[in-house]
Amino acid sequence: MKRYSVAVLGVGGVGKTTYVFRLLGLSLKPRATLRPGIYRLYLRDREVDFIDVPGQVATEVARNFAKAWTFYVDLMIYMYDLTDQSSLYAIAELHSALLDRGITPYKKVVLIGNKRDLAEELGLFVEGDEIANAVGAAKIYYISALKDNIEVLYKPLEENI
Amino acid sequence: MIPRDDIVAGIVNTPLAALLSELEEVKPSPRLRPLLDFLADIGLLQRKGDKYKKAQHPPRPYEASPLAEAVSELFQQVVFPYLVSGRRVARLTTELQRALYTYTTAFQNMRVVVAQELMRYGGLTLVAGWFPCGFSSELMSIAGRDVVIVEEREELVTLEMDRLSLIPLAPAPLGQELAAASFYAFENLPLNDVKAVAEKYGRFDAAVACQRGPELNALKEVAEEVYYIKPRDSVMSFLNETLLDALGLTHPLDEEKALKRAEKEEVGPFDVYILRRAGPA
Repeated sequence: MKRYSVAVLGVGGVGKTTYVFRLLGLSLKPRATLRPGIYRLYLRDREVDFIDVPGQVATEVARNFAKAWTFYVDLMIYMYDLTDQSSLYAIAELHSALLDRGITPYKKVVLIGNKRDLAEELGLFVEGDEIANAVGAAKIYYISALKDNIEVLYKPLEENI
Repeated sequence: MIPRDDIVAGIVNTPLAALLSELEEVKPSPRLRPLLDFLADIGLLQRKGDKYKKAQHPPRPYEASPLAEAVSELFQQVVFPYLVSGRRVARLTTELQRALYTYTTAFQNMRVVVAQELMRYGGLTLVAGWFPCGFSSELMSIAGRDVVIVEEREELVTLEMDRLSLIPLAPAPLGQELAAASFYAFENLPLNDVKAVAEKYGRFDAAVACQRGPELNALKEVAEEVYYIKPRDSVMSFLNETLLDALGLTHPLDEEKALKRAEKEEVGPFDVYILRRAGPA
């Protein structure tokens, strides 16, 4: 069985852990993620180690994690909140913190705009095209980690690893 | 919360299940009775006095998931030989290591819920036996714990060590803070030596044991609180116990007595017993 690693990076409250929990089939409202964690998923014949990075509350922690990054992942998911422009701009910051080390620590990168349900309700939809171009993301996905069905949530993984 | 269909599929997809489906009736020796009772529990056979009949509507083999394949491998290479001849597994092949590692995925959602719903933030936590439930990274990310994992057979945790090496390692326990790295350590020791682990790391804030561990009273001596977890599902419980016995892994002997005074919480099909150290008089 082939093993893959995926990391999800973004600042506080964008829904990274909610997304991971949904992929696991859990609909719990997560606590703040305090430390990096790894979850294991199986996608047919592929084993995926899914790395969830703390970012909740402290942008600084996510930035420090980016600086302390010691490994190479098959897929990097940058996640932002579709109702919060600053969470999108923070992606560019996290991305440069990663690249400051002089290497690209991932094979492929995609951008996920989360909380689509809330964005639609508020009529406030922060498009991610510009940042996606800047970070070299292969694709942008607009999702609701809370409400979309599991097939939709699996797409970023299935289409990119 | 338990992927029971995958577990049943794993058993149903074995040659033994195929053989039994061709026999109308079996009268086993007493030694084989636990195995046939187990197969009756998953619906492959029906008990009829001291005999076992083919079930009228047995579960059918279907496309196997990675977990089902792991269960098949473990059933054929570990569980079945142990129940039939008492043969223990001396050496873990790469395939068995991988199957045992995959088997721990069956408990992932339970681990997440226990860490999130029952545990307080922070503290040094002892995992008294990594197999079968596989507690590790969830304790760090969700409950902010610093973790020491003790396992009796080093080959059992090789893949988990490899997996955890993906996340940055903090040089020392962090306490409760939000951090970009986690503190974790592995110790290869008999579980009955937990006192030696406490001498090295200091007293633990909590210990987690899932159908494993030394005597629970010994765990209470090294940790402020002990989370002891048992599946209520008879199939899973039997499979775990047989795997532990066949692999020569320790499980507590004072379970019944020690758990009488424990708090009990239900997490899906698991009972979580919490033993707390008595406060000062």
